[in-house]
Amino acid sequence: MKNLRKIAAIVLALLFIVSAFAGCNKPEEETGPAFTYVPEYNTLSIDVGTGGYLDNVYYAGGKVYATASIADGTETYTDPETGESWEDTKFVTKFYFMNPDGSDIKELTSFKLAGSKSDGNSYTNENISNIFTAGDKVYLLKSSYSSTNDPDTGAYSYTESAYLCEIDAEGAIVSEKLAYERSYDSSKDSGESTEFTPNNIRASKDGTKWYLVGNTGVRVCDSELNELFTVEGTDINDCVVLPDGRVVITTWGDTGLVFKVLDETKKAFGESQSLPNNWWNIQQGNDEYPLIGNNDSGIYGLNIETGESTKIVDYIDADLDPDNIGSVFPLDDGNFFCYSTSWDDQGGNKTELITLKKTDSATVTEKKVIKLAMMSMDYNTRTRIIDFNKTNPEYRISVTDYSEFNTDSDYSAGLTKLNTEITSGTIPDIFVCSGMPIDKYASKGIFEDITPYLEKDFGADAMVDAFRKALTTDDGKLYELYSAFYVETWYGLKKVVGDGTSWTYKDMQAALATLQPGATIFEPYYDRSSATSLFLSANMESYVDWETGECHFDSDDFIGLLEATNLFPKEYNWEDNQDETNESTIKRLTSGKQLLASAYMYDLNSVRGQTWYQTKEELSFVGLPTNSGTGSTFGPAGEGYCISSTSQYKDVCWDFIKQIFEYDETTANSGYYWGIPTNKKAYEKAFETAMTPIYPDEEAESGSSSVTYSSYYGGGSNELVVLNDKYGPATSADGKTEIAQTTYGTDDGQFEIFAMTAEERTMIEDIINNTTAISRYDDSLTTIINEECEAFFSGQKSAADTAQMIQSRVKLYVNEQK
Amino acid sequence: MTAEKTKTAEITEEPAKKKKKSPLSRLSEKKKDKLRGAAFLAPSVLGVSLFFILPFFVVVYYSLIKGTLNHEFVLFDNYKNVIGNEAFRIAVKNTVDFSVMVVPLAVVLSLGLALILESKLPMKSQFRTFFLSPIMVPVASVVLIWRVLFDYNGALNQFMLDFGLDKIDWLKSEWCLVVITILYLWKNLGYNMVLFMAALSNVPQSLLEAADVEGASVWYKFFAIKLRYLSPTVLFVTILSLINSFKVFREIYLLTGDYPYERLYMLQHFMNNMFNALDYQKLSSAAVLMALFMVILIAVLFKIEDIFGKDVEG
Repeated sequence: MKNLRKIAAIVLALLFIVSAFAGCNKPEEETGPAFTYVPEYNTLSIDVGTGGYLDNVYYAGGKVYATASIADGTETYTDPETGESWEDTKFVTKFYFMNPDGSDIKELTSFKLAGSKSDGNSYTNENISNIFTAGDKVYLLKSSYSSTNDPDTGAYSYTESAYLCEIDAEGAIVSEKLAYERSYDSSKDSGESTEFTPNNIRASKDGTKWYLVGNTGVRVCDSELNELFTVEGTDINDCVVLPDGRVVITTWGDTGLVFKVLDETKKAFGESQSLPNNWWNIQQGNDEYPLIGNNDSGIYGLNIETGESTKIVDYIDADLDPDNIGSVFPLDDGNFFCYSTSWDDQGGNKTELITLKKTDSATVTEKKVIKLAMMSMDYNTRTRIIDFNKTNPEYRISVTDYSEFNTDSDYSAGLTKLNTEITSGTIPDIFVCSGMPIDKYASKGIFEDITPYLEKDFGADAMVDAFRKALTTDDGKLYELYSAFYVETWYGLKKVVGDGTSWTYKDMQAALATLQPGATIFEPYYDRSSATSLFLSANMESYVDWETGECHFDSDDFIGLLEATNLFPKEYNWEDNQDETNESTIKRLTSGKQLLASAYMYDLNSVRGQTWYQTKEELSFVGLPTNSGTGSTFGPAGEGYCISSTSQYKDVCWDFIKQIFEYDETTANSGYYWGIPTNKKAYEKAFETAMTPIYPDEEAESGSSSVTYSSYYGGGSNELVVLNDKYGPATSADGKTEIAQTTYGTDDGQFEIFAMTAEERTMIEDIINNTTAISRYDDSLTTIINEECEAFFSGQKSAADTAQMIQSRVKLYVNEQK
Repeated sequence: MTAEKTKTAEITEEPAKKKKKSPLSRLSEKKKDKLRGAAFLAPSVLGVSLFFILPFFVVVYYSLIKGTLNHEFVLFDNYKNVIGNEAFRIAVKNTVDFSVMVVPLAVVLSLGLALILESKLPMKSQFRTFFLSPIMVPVASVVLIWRVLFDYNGALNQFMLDFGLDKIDWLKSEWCLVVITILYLWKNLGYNMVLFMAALSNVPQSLLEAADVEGASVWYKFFAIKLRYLSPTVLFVTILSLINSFKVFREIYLLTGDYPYERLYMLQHFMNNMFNALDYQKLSSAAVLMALFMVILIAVLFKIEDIFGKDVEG
């Protein structure tokens, strides 16, 4: 007994020691996966001609089948209503057959597809919906659709059908079975058919059973397509026959796509289980992962029994751009086949057949890894990373999207993980600015000052001055690089708000008093809470001095701000004020119902369309009331990056991020996609382009302009109107009338925007140059102010008491940051 | 010849086997006891070293370097920075104020309760259970009850309004300390009381009976006999109450968040916020200063107890 106690004590002691070291194993990610998927690219050498494209690519039975719309000379088209005719490219549909590496391309001339034809009142279309194998035979599903329309009576009819065709090696149809057919004639029938309509067909491995998949159920058929039974369901998306013969359907559940196993003996679907990770395409897998799916991030395998998914291929790690990837097909040898179509600026395209080869990680040439952290992936960043990884022989960028760690109950779990990693010394080399606490990280010395890099490669004067000044910290450091920016400003009628570039609350209240009774400061839907947030966004620097830690929320000025919010409704009632909110801002402004309106300058033309093109009244960009600055703010647009101060590869990181700032004068390509370019040369070029009138014979060339034509606000009417005739088309020396650079929509109709005048440029540059602050959101500060203002808005506390309380709490926060 | 050699070997091996003793058996019983004790202590020592002592030294190290990314030694710069930080000074003042206010209250009130329950009071055990029950209530529930009671639109203000009194913002005015003090006492008195009751039962009855015979007053018996014998428990309860007064952050945080009304901003708020802000230098320096202060305070308390309780502890 005594010995037993001793042994028990020793065992417990050992357990304690072992458990203490349990967490000391090497992190899994350091060892890396045993296998990696290496892409093998093969350019598809089918000449589709100008405007031609690949319709679909299928992998079946070890071969690749593709249908393509090939440009085949020209054809004369006639408008049935006007009788006008024109020549345009004629497209023919062709069917090809090749090896997965793109070799041995053979056109299956025996198989003919009608393609699409339209003569105005009738339309026919024939295409291939799917190609697959069953047993040792190759099948395709041919879908046909034909419709006619009677322009006089408005009656229409259509017939749609699908045929299951077995094809031989030449593409000739060996056998053809009608899978389904239905037709409708509006002149004879009272309603469209609601009968079972399949949209896909799947075969059992040996081809003895066929599964017709429709939105409302799955019809199980024998080898001759005779119905055995139908299992009804709703919102069925697709159906897959698993390697073990079981059939799985996917349907839309309450929270997304779910899957159910078809029980053929009970003729019913099993319990639904969630499909994770927003899958949008499913395929039959292999023994390890019976179901394969893919989403924007990669290819996943699903364990049917547990419902757990595993990421098999990460697209970025495999240098694939998911935006260009078509369907993914798992191969018997564990590899994957997919194809990628990329489009160039001229409308041409390039299709590559890709085999993702499962390769022992040890045999893959190791590159130095640059870690990139982000809170959300966007198209441009992804493309840039993939291009870098594909072309750089020495380095590769490994991406961690920390937003993937967020959960429904904790939206900041990803950021917490990143913070923890930074604290433990695992610091990414590059940060994508969007969604990151830039100020906090910069204050901790996490970012590298990019000034020397910028000045070395682009010169000391390369960035738009006002934006650079706003980005630069008090100690003269520049941590962020953006491709573009926008400006948010506020304007009013010059005769009401004056012609200054800033004003105070008292000025604002005095100006409001000159308007008609009941006039609002902003749009009528601003309530006390949103108005406070807005005022503070432009004034935070007046109330907080981050250097000294002083706060002035108990000042008369802030109390005045709070009292000014009493001019706004406690809560805006949308339903009771439809007429108010439907009236356009500019009309409210010019009719004296509103004092200020916001203008977002997200390109050089946008502010023109929002403001002076809509009224002849003189406007003044006075901004929000403020005690410092102008009440206008910059916002970062496009891409933005920071480099870690601890990175071993700072120069390589810079070479990667500087791409967003590069400007090619020959192509006028500044690398930005949205916003006003931060690169001064691109900025100047954008002005130059915006100021150059386009005349009819130059119209085609203007497509390559660097001005972004995005000013299409939803308006109520398509009618072309002129709201301010001061801005009209110019006339060239040879008498040609200028063509609009863009159009802008309002409730009154569409109006055209022409080349910018020198006066307009001055107005726009004044707004940009007078802006001094970057729009930043401080979550803690905003939370404190909002919490305390609630009692004031509900009338339970006075403005002075509320201000005192905000001062008490914010003081602690601000002092902590010192 | 070979057989002989083998036999000799067998003969010589036999005494060697008899002589073989384990190294432990050669030790004296006293040394063996020490070894056994060390073996049993080892897991605890290892655990404490691994999870408390080592991290503490890491914290000290962090407090002496420039930053998480830059490990350059800056000596006391971080300490100067922290001491110069107004938020830290407010936190220290509030924490000290709170501790100075609640610790004596917690000791005196719990001792008073123990004395009352020691007397022949009816329903003694029910009262004891009543005072002990707050220990078992989860913090989240306690906070919820306190919110319902002390919110600006809570039950207490509603009650006051019914009697024509003005509402008080209990958690955002100078009253906040009263609210938190009540919460603290409610949560801690029961446990302290039990400790005192246990100590009171150990006061020698013979001394008390002798005092009764000598006609000593109740007060005399309390101060001259009971309190002297209670002094180790008083020290223990004081230290415990002090530690619990630092831990009241948990309740305050759940009631008012990261940035409460200034008077409720405690040292742990500062440290917690520094953790969230990734400012490990300020966090570490503040933690080391707090630890130093606690060590000194507890040493002083031990010294006081040593002076007053020396004669009764033998």
